[in-house]
Amino acid sequence: MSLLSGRGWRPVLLTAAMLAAVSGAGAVSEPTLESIYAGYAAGDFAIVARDVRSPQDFRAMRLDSPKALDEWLGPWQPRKATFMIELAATANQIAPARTWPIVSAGRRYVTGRRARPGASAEPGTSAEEDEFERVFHRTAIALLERHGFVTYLEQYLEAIRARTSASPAVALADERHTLAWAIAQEQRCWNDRPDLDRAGAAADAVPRAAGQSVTSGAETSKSMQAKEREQRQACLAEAVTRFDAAAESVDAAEARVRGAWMRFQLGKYEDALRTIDGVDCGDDRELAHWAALFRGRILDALGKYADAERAYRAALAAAPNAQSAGVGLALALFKMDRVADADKAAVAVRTGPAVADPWWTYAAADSRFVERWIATLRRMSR
Amino acid sequence: MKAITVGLVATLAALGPQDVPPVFRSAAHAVAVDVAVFDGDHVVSSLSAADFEVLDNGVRQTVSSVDQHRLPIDLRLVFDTSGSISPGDLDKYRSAMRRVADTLQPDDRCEIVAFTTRITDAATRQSPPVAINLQRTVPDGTAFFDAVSLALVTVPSVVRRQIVIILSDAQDNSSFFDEAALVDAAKRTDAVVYAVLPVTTGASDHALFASRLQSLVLLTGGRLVPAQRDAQIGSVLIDAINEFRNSYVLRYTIQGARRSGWHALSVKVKGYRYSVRARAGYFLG
Repeated sequence: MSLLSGRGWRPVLLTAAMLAAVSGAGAVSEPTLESIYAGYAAGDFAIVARDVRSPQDFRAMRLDSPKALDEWLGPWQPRKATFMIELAATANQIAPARTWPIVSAGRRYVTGRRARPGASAEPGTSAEEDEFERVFHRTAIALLERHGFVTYLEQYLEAIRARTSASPAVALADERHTLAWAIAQEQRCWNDRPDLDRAGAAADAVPRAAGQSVTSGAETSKSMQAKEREQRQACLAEAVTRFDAAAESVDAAEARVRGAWMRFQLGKYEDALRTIDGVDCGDDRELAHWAALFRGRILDALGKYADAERAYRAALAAAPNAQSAGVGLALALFKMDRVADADKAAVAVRTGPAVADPWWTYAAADSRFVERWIATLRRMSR
Repeated sequence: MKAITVGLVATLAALGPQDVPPVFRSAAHAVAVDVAVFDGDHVVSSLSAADFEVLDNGVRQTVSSVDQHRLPIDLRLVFDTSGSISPGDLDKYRSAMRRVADTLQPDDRCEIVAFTTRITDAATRQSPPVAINLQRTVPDGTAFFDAVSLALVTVPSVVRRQIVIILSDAQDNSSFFDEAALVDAAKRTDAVVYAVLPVTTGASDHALFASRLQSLVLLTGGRLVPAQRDAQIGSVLIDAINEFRNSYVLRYTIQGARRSGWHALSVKVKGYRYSVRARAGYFLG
């Protein structure tokens, strides 16, 4: 299962869907956009998650035709735009491939609202309208990021960029979009990461040096990896460029943290350390965890194990019992021959309370904000 | 693997099998190496110190003592319980764990680690009888590198031997650490690592993941054990443990090659074409 596919909720939801199929097969009519939106418009915000429970439900809603969807959306209503985002969020969890047609229809609806009956103010004339659109786009982008839909994500961002680069719509510009552009590239590198699924040439070299044989599969692996690694270096270098551009904005902290992580993967450890040192994560504890965690890894790579230990402890302070930092701490102590401490740290990882590790949501980027942003959209579209 | 101060070896050898205080460094380092010797498929027993030739960073060493069958073991079983493992397989794992636990000696200790994305103890480190509680944890995913690297964090002891057995297809999709970190941990661990690879993946992937595990086990002097889908996992594990028990522990004080860093090892049996399996080297801090 991909790290980008929002682990955690999926097994639960699949189980719920299966139970529903068993207990209510044939007893419940298929949901339609009209029926669900009728409840939603009346203020029943839970109706989407409650009534749309399986990929079949999405099929029944006939979302495949952009034209039909645009016609159904009709006159401009902010609540309908919010409904589309909620529908996309549900699709994101139980039928991820449906996310794109829904958010792209939503984007057309929001950005084309001036031309619709009941149109609201021109961009740049109403701060509230502009803010609604900004939050809508952020949420849509976050949903695309959750699954690493890189092509769609860049397509969405290009559409937004075209809209927000010209006056007066420049008022809609959002520095988070610049970060998302960089995250798209990071996710592209992640999706192509050879280390995840293929045996490594680095490890093959060890038994060779020891005079041991390795399998023919490893030979294949090695040649495949040489090419893939070269491509990956180019991918990562482009990501660094994009994150550096994003770091020029006011909200530079996350861009710097992610940019440092890209540099680490390029083997540019000193550069990575310079990029991440002194980052102010404010009250964003997940970002603070990532920053400390990556700093630990960078320092470890530089052979500064005592500093790495302190960084991993800082990561654990930001996210107590986080597994990734716990593993890092144990390995750093092990390298310093503090074996009793390392063993204690390792036992703590294996026996500690079951908590969510912020590392597990790193790849899914802004999806960590989706619930909060949807709540904002609900409030703004009342 | 950690080299151990000579004086400490003498002191601790007189102790019973129990936890050992932290290792201290001195100018004279004693090294203990687990060595398995085979004549074809048969374990070769009754060899003495004089039978072995050990090169440490290319320098011939004098083996001062050889142990076989004497020391209790610390066994760490590491089970991949991610979503690709069926509920039926999980039941087999539970049964295998119980079988293994039942074969342990009173002075042995056992710890059972299970991992998906999360790493948990299904049994904390304990002597028999072993209380086992294996549950599949969420979120689903496979943190192979993180879980196995962590499992290689061991406390060196001259009165116990350490074996880690991994049961996994070696796929990974959620670790923070990577293969380089795993290789580094393998260089530093005292444990001999065996890996049991279920033959469930596609032919191409299977060779690649087998290569990953093979690299790991060869570093530590262990072995890769392919297990067919209908294999009795318990029997496979017990065979590996017995093989480990029948191996030797060679001890020597480093001569002429005492620099810090990686020490490449070569172990042979003089005058015989026996197959010898030992770790590829060790890390001297």
